[in-house]
Amino acid sequence: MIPDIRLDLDVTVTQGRISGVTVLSNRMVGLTQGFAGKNPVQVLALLPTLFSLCGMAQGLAGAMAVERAAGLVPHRAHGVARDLLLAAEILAEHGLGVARDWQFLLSREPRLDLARGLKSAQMGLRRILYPQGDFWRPGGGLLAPDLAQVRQVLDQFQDCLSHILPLAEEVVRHLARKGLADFGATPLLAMPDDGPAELDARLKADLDGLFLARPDSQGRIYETGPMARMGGGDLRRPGLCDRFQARIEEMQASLRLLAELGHSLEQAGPGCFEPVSGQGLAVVEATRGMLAHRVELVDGVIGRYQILAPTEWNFHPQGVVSRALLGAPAADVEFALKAFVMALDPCVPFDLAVSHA
Amino acid sequence: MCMAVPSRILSIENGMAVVEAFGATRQCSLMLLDEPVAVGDYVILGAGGTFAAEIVPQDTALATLDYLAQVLADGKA
Repeated sequence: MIPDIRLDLDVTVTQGRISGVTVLSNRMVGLTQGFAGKNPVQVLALLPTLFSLCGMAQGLAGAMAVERAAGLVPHRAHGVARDLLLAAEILAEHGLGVARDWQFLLSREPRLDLARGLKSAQMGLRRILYPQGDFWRPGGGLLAPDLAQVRQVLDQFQDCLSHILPLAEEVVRHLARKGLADFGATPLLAMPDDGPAELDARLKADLDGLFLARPDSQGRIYETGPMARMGGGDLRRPGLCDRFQARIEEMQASLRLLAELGHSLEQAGPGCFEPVSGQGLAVVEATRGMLAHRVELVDGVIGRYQILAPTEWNFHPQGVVSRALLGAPAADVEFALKAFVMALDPCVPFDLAVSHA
Repeated sequence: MCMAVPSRILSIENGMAVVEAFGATRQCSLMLLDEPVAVGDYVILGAGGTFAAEIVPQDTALATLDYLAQVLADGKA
């Protein structure tokens, strides 16, 4: 029986303010231990299904980690295709959140029509670029983009977004009217570009999996994801509305990136993976934040495989959730908490419990 | 991380499917899928588990399920 993977957020309220926050997770961070001894190409073929919520980011991070371990350099065309597919996944996932989940904040039903359009565009783009579905292949899959079809899909994204952005902006206005604009405001401890400098060393040394479960960088628990990526300029203490706004801005930026990259697509043949030994770390920006894959190859077979996901940073017991919520006002607290967790988007179901002391 | 379990469609009625994985069944909406599905097909459920997000080819689904079964049996997660 597969365990029910969830996050538990327990909050204590004292005299109108949040006085205690406990974040617990039963996420299976060691799920990749069973990859040891297996053929990396066969493992990579499973990644987008095994971790399908960010299947593109997971598959590409895996391909890139194996490439670095094997010293395999893919054709430059795969770099463009990969950036385009990652941007499409970010756009689609943020949009799905708005259409499917954010409507709860407005007491409305999900907009499944818009969600379906986004998902269709995302999966369609994947099929158009890599008709054999092997975007995850180390060295690159068979890249054969039909540019006319790519333009049609980009138009589909544009059309979906034209409906989704107003809904998203309405949510931000609604939260502000409820007095929640600054809920959870806390100093932004943004994940560095490409992750912490010591990431490879920490992963290599993490034989018991404790770092994977509760990562830190010299004691700092970074925030990763749209708020960290969009920077916020001189925004020092982002609140709830800032976090939702960052997702809106990232959708817009992703659409612009798709348009730029769509002009640069080329064809390329599949790469060829040769059995070698080596170690490789790849970091990609997935929808919910920094995703790292580290692989050790021994004579072409996986010796060790580790995945550090963004949710382990953002929902660390001492991470941004705890930092932001401690001391926050507790008016309409359950609604505010649901909105806050939604703004951080943990990719697994979560349970909220509020107690009063 | 964001683990997904390929689930086999047991029945379909009015855009809703009953799916099964590792002996557990649940209902999910098929409204997000852009291709038709049939009983016996495999799907991945989206976040929250109430929508089918993606159709999975049978060979990939079975290989993924085999891996998950191995992980559970070994207790390596």
